[in-house]
Amino acid sequence: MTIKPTVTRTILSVVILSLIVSLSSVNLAKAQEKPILDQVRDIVSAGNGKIRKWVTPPRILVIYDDDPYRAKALSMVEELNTTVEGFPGISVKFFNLNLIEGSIFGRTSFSYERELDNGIVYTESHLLIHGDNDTEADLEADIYLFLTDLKTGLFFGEIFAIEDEEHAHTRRRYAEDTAESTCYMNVQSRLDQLQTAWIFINSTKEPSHIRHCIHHEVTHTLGAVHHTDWSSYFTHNKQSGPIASTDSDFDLMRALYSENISPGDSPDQVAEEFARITGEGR
Amino acid sequence: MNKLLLCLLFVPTILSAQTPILDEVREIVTSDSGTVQKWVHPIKMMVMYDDQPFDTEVNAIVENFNKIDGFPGITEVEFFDLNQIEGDLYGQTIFRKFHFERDDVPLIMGAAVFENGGDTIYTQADIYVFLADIEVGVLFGALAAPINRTVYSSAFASGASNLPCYSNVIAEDNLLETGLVFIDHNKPPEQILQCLYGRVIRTLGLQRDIADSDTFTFNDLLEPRLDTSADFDLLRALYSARVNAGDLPDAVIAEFEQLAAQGDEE
Repeated sequence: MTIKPTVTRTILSVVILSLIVSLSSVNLAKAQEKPILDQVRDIVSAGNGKIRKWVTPPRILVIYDDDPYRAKALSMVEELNTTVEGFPGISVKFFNLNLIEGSIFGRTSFSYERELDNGIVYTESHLLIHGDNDTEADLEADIYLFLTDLKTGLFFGEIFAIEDEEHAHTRRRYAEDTAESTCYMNVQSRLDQLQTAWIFINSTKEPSHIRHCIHHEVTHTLGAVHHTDWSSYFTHNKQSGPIASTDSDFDLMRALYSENISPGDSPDQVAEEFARITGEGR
Repeated sequence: MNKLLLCLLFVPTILSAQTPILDEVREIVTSDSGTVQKWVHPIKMMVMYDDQPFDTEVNAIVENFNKIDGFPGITEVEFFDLNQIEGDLYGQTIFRKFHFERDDVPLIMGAAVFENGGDTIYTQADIYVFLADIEVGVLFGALAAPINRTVYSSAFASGASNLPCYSNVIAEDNLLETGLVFIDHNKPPEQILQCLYGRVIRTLGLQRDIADSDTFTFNDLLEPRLDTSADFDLLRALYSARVNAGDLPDAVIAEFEQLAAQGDEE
């Protein structure tokens, strides 16, 4: 086609420019790493400049088509439940998608209802999946974690797309299956109380990436909603990549779920709590 | 005196009969920005299919659209068999908007690029029609996510019975640039035909859905209606030289009324 050279040049230009920009910005960002309390503020600050947290115990459902990474999910849940004081509690269950026969495309739907009672927002959601031979499932959870191949993950991504318009570019990157797009997530909130969340992890990627994604995306859905630029402490960074220790992430959870912090509070209050708990930044 | 009496008696009747149609016209041609949007350059359309291309039917539909005065025309229709891509489309396909030049005119067009066994296949078009399995629709829906309408793509993925197809069109400065049409090829042929007609015409500027219209026919119904003359009158009104991209819908309504009046005279 006559257009091909133009497209080739455009794609190559974008790729090369992205590489140059990312390489130069990495060195700059590393040199200018923010103070740790500013990183805390970045990470817990939602779009409205407030913090968000769960006030009811979230239930994770891992919907998998291969390895469910059961040990990783269970150990993370246990650590949250035993070390994060004030956390409302979290549970995890697993659903094997292979129990559904045939294609689930065009035969799956999602619905939810919300109600407010005494200042607490309750969401009841259902994911209905139908397959061949009357195989079906009515799944209910607060955090849906899809640990599947790309095709199935994209399908569920489209099912939830109507609730997830702000992540359109992320969904496209995931669909393009680029090296850095192993996983993504979205979490909804009402009155700054976290509600339904969904996580997509490509089950065909490297196990180490998948384990990192489980930790990273689950903690996102628990209130570490954003990234800071460069961080030697937190996994929620834009540029420095996976961090060897997740200790600071759990410290962040402890600060966020402290009884002194309520949904809608300022990120400054979480930063102060983080400083009190860890002695950092004093 | 008699003429005045006639007017008093009949004008309200005429208005009440006409107003719903004009309301429908306004509804159909009003874009999200409250203006009318139209193509101003010749359009290339690409039908990406994985079973039947419906090429005869598509070409006939396009031929009829191209008869509209003032419409720049769908001057090129290409049929792309997705089966020529080796292996899974998932993970080796991208869809983006790119800047192109055609006849020294800068354009923004859609481009689907496939990695195909070590080779790269490029396609480009102004309007893409994905006439394929729902799995393909889901993939391209996600690949086009930043410019797609999630209210439709979610329902399409779910297999909603009232959504055998959907479409979206993207404009810049009220000039239409990229059209996307998704059709589930597993639907009955007559419904696919209705989708081809009804969804492509939406990408030409008749953007909004209109349900239960007695006048206009692009409504995804299983049973296509034969008389599409009102649809074409509306296209003629939109592409009249007196209507510019960015005008308010009233400009199209005025043209539509004039066309209707001419029809009555004839």
